[in-house]
Amino acid sequence: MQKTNIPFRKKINQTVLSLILFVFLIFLSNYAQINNHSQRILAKFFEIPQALISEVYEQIRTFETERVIALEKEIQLYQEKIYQQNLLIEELQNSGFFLFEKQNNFGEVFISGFDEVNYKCCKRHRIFITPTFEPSKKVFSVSQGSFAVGKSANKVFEEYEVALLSDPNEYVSLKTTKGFFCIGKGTGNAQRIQCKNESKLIPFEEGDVFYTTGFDGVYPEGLIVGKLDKVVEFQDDVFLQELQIILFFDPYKSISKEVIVHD
Amino acid sequence: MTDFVRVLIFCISVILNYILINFEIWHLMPDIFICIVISYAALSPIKLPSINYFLIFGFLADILFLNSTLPYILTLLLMGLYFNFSQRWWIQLSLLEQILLIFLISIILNSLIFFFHSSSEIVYVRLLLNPILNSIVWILIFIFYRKTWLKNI
Repeated sequence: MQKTNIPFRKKINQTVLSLILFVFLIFLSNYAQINNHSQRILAKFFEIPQALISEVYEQIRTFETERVIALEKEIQLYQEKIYQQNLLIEELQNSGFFLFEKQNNFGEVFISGFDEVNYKCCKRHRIFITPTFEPSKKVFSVSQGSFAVGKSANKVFEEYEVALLSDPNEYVSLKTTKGFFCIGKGTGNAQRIQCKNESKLIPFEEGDVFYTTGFDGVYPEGLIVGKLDKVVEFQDDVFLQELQIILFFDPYKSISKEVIVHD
Repeated sequence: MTDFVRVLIFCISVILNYILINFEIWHLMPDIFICIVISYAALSPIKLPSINYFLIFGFLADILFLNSTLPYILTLLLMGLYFNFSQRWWIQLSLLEQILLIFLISIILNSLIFFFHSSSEIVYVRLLLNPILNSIVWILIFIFYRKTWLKNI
């Protein structure tokens, strides 16, 4: 079985044509941001069978016993209340002397999706919100109550993609109640950001709460960001410390919860 | 292998890849898209798809799973060019040559993913593991299909 030899000229023609198509496809995907849109479509596509399966499962269970379902719904309601109460307690415990106005001036905004796939594998931390209004700014910050969530990245169909603070490309200006200031940067790990301390002038300790300063012009002042978890010292630079901060906002617990858009 | 079957195979591979990523085992498994392409060469060695098919295949894999459109489209373009323009059929190469080529293409793909998509630890582990896993998949295909190829050769 001998392979028919393609003439050199034909090879060149085919290669050039495929290279033109290659460049065109890359240009098209960058120009129209096809990657973001198609990944969102794929995620939504997989939500349909998940919803169907859970509905069928729910129906079978309803058939088995309605009382159990009623009780479970009651439990779910209580869990929702507990979640809201915990959020409030955490907020009161950590609000320090910064008082933040938690009003949502633009109607109800809910978290409509969470890019779990990229969150798990590829250090790309994104949630999706669906505002009922058109924000005036292209870049706006989002919080859950007084807890900072992230800032808007792209518009994907009717939804806004929100880059979480833990995303490695995200920065936020931070401060503590003791007057320590730093620039927080996402680590790409779940609920984690870090900031560098190069002065050692102002003391801090593990458990200190960090707030937004408002200096970056995106996040309003006084949003609760996270708690200092660990301080890493460097042997080669005695003046340098790395502060590891755990964020309060957990995307896994926050699907379909209300958020505030700071437009 | 008809175009309909190829589209169907692509859809199944997308579903499988999504499941692997969701179960956080994507980096520990062979690359589905590379495996699909090399299995084309095994199942229908003489009727291989055109270069443009490989390009579109890579483009779709890129836009559905990666943040930048380059790793799969470039890798599959190289594979398409090789399959279409090489002097010998893929199945006429020795096992060592085949494994070396799969190893090389897997390294190119995963390096591009590492540089253009995400430089997380998971992708780094994949960069190290994936060439070996893809080669193992090809060795298995080789063991099962060797006799069929020998009849044709």
